[in-house]
Amino acid sequence: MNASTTEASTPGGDERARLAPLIRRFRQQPMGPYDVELQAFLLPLRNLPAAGKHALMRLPGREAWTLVRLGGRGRPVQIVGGCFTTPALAEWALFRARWQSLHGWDPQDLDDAPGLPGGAAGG
Amino acid sequence: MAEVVGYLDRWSARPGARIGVHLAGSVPARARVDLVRLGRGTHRDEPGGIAYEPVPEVEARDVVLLPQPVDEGSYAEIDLGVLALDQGCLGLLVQPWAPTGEAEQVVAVLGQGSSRLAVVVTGEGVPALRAGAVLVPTEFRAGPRRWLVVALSWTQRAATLTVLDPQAGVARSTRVERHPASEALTGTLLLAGAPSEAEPGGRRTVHSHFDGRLERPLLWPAPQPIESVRDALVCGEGLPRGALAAWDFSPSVAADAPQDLVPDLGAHALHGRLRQGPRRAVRGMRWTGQFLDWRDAPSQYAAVHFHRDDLEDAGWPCTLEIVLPDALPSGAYAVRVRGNAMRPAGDDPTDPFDLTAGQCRLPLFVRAPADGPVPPGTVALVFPTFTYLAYANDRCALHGHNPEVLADRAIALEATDVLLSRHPEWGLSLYDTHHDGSGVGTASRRRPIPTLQPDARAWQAGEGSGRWNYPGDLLLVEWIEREGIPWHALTDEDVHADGAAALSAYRVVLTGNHPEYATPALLRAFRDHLDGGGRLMYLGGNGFYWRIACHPQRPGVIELRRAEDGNRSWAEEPCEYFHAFDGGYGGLWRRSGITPQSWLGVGYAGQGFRRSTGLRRARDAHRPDVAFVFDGVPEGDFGLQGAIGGGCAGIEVDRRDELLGSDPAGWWLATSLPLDATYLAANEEMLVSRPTIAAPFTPAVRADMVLQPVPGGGAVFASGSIAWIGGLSADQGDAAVQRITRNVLSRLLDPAPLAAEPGPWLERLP
Repeated sequence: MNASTTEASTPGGDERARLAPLIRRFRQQPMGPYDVELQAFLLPLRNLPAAGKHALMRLPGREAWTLVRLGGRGRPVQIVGGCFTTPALAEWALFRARWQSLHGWDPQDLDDAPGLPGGAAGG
Repeated sequence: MAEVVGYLDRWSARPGARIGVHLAGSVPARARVDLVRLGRGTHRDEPGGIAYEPVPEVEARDVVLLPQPVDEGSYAEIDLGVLALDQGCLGLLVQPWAPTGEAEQVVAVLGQGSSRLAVVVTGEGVPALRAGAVLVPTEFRAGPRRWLVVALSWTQRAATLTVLDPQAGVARSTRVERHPASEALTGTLLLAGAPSEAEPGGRRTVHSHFDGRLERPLLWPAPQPIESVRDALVCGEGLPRGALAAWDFSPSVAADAPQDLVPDLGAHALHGRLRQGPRRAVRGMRWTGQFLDWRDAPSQYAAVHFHRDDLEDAGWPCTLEIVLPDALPSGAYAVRVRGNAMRPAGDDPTDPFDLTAGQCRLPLFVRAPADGPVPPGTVALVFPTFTYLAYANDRCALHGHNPEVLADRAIALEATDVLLSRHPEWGLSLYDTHHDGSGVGTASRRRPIPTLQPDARAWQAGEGSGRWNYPGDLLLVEWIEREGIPWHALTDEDVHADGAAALSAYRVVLTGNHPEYATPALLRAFRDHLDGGGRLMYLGGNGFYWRIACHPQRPGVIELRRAEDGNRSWAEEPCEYFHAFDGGYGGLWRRSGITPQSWLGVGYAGQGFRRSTGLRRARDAHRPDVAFVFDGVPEGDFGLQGAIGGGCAGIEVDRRDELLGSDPAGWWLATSLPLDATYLAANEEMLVSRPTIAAPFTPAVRADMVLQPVPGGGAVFASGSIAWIGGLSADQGDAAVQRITRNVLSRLLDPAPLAAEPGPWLERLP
């Protein structure tokens, strides 16, 4: 799988069902370690070209992160917002933002079970 | 809200020196400037931040910060002196590298005002003639990296531009009637950029830079047919018959030849200057394929590669000078600049806030006085400033090769990275590529580097503190200070300049965590130190990996050619592997025949940027003659926690390897516990792409801790990886690693040779 396949796919209901276990696994353990299947799912998302890609920024002097969007060569990073107070929350928030911008739906909708990282507190 | 940035005129100084401080604010603002000592004291700017204390002997000063522009982009500037050309011809060889784009690129411009004539490449990649405000394109489209013969002829009535592609045998001309009042062309010939019409504040700027190579500009006093120009450019040498000037872009083999000089071979001696450091010693059109080294055929390397984003000197005015007190102890310092209009980031980061948190701290390393005594037991810490410089303004996370894949996690930018993204004019790092796709081969410290801050976090440090490179080395400083070890600071630049004499007063010399870049003089100094009975503690990983060169005239500018192989974010152009600055063969020291293993015992094996691991005792750990190393360290694995990736073996790891020169008699003390699959082998170790490059599938990707005596009483200790220094952290470190580091340091301070007892290392001596 490469970045272009990820970008090209816009999952319908069946695709959502297929992806749901992977997304749940990532949400349960956003900081890894990842199994081979999950790694294959994540790498194309992480390997997207810079321009327009969501990323994180640490707030100066704080253990908190916010979402930003890369501009690509010669273009400024835009601050998107949000305030995430653990790396795991930030990682999940970043995944959600990327996924939504690529596929148009929120992966958190798949499962909002309590106790999972990135639940109501995940912004 | 005033974001505060700046730079010092040097990174290293002795007591009594005057330090030039060049500052800017994003908006006009007042700021207070003082000096702080890093690595000691009770102040910290954030939880986990580096400790520091003010230096009361240097009085704080209040200054006004103003926005400061940067005129980036390289070009050649030639003063035509008394020449007044009512007719003439300018011919040159042109190789556009990025001929299409958003903006017009100016290849050459001469004359002034409405009389000005320029050779340009339009945004569509079409060579064109610009006469005053009139643009006349040729019917020709320039291909990237394709050499062209260009001739601009003019009289007072008309100007003609002819472009010839000699490879295709295609020539196209365009002509324009000149303004009736056109004056003779005088003043300056500018190549690879155009001077600004308006000069606000008296400041001259150059815009519309050309990305690509130019070669052999020639000037005649009368129009010339394209055939004559072609023959003179392609086949001729020196000053063509009848020409007024011929600028020689070939590099000089003389060691002290000014890098920015382009001599004129004509009678008027209209020597030109290169500005902002374009790349020299690159192949020209007349390269035959016979030579690989420019020193063998300088005329075949007679092109200069200009980039719109070259930057050698930001040229900001000096805001103030700080005089270092004569009694200032050697150490790691920073000039601290605090704006008084700060606005911190709140929980809504879309509400604009100060990306510098209202301050910057500009690194400064203070050496011991030149003639001062060095108390016994004093160690020297050589800060790897060449490596700091190589990474300065690294924009890979902003637009380059994707580090997220290497890091196996989201990259968290620092706010200063975001600030950097807003200022492309502050230049690039040796990890970036230029706008035209070529690799960035030079780096300068005379410019703002907003990410070089004591508390900056880097993705390369893995999970944890984010301390790596400069901030990582400050963990070592904190540890030395906590241990009460007397020490002096040196930098790569100091040792490069002074050689082994800079180290001779110290029995033990320490490196930082990532001394990746080294000049021949730096390497020679370390090796001479060892050969002279000195001791070295190499406390990092991927050290002494790339060979670089220092600018022969401009301190603080280094050159790199990423030749052959190695972990690279770009590859050097073929047959351009020799530095312009010193003629040395660029690339890995391994490819220059000096492997790190051959003098340090270990050398780069691979990298991973998420989690570090611990270490396990290895073959020689239980020898009685090295019992001092593990004195007080409980049996079993150690280094299982640390501030860099959560362990003391990891990030960039080095392996002992006798085939690569590790001393067979050196003591192999420990090796890393298994590294995970995010660790991949160094690509210079792969002859064929294979699926066993991840650490779990190859024993070659590991971190080895070694100690090896050097004949004559010297010795080298190598920790095996970048993560080791994370074990020295006060709150996230590892007691065993701290104990081992102290044990080895104490023993190496003892003048008795390590190999006091006969052993196998003596048996092999002749």
